Amino acid sequence: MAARAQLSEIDRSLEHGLSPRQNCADRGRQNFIFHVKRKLAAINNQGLHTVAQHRSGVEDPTREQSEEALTGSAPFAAWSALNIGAQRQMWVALGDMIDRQYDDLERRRQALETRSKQGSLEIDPAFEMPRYLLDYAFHGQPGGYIDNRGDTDIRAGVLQEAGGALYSRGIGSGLRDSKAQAVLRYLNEQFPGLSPKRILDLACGHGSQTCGYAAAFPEAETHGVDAGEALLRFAHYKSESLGIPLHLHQQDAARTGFEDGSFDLVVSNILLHEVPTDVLEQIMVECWRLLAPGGVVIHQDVPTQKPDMPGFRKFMAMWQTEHNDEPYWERFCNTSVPEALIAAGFNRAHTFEDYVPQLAGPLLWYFVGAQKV
Amino acid sequence: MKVQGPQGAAKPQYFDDPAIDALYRMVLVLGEEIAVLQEQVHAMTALHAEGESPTEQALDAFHPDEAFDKLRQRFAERLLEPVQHLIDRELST
Repeated sequence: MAARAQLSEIDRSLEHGLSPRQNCADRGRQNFIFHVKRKLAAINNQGLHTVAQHRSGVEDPTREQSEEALTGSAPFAAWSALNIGAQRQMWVALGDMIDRQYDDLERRRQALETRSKQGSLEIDPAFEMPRYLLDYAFHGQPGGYIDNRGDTDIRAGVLQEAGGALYSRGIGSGLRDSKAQAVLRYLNEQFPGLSPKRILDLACGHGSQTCGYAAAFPEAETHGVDAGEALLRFAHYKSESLGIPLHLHQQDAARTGFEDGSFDLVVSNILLHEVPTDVLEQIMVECWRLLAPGGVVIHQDVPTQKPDMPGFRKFMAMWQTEHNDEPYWERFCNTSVPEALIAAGFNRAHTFEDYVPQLAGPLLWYFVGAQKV
Repeated sequence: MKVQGPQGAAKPQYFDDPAIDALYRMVLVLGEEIAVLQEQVHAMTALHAEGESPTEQALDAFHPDEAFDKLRQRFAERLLEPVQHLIDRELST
């Protein structure tokens, strides 16, 4: 049985039993993409902002003024082509790295299969895939979140984890932090003494954040749901290699099969901006149903809801909708999550919405949730 | 159950002439291949200086230092310098 990984170890630098191995060429490719992304982020923050100000003649251009000012300008066209080009190359470079060593990854998966399990994996052969996941390859990830090539496939999970880490580094997020650690710091401040017995991570994906929650609350039983079979399979073997027991289920986050009131803590990371509005509302209803009295739900997502977000930033965030396979980003920005929570049954006085700076990075974390009282 | 996931949506054309979009993609691919060669040459040179054979395994296991990462960064910045020139030209009009 593997030694149990500690919360402080579970960040973007974590190596585990199914981590792909970089060769010299992979290192060159991925570092090139990383540095290109870093520089493009700096050009976005400084140069393009100045161009928008200059062409609009306004110090703080609105979203519409920013769009009008930048559309058709040579620097913006160049930045856009390079940004999307770097994103495409990221997926190709990572996909090639994974495919080259897939036989080795499969051998490692088989070796983990033979060990005694602490957690569990439940794949539903009758699972009905939500339509929006069939239609969109979020962030341009080839195959999206749901690609599954067979009963032992883990490729989508390896790719999602590697892509997420490189993308986050490229936009300036440091290696020594994670979304789960940020949520846990926030929960510790807002709900000191919270000690859940059962935790549910909605849309748990490759399971890194789920591992973080389980490591933070080792006495709790931690569950995760996701639609992607290969993601869940990867998360299962990865968590086993880390000595962290997770109970993973192929279920729709909007309609899980758990009993009413069966969790004390329900979390999600970067889920809400990737679902249609009606699904977001249904997820809030499901959170209300799943929480026991006194339980807490917290969702972490992109900080585009912030009312005082400058218009230029809003425009650049919306650019993702059309250019980086983020079809629901704009609708998410125009949706009040607290109102959706209240409509689902939560008391207005016990909902919260907050923006917290990253520990290692330039961005803000967006937290929204409620306590069921 | 086997599921063939979706592929990324077609991306907009950013320049009036689609050949310019294609050229940007080519430059990025070329930059990536140069970065691979730089990585390999650096590892080979460093291993040689330490009296080690630059085998494939040794190249893969080699850990470049921070000074080399600065060179990687500088290469990407130089490649993207023309974008800054476009910005400067825009601001001067």
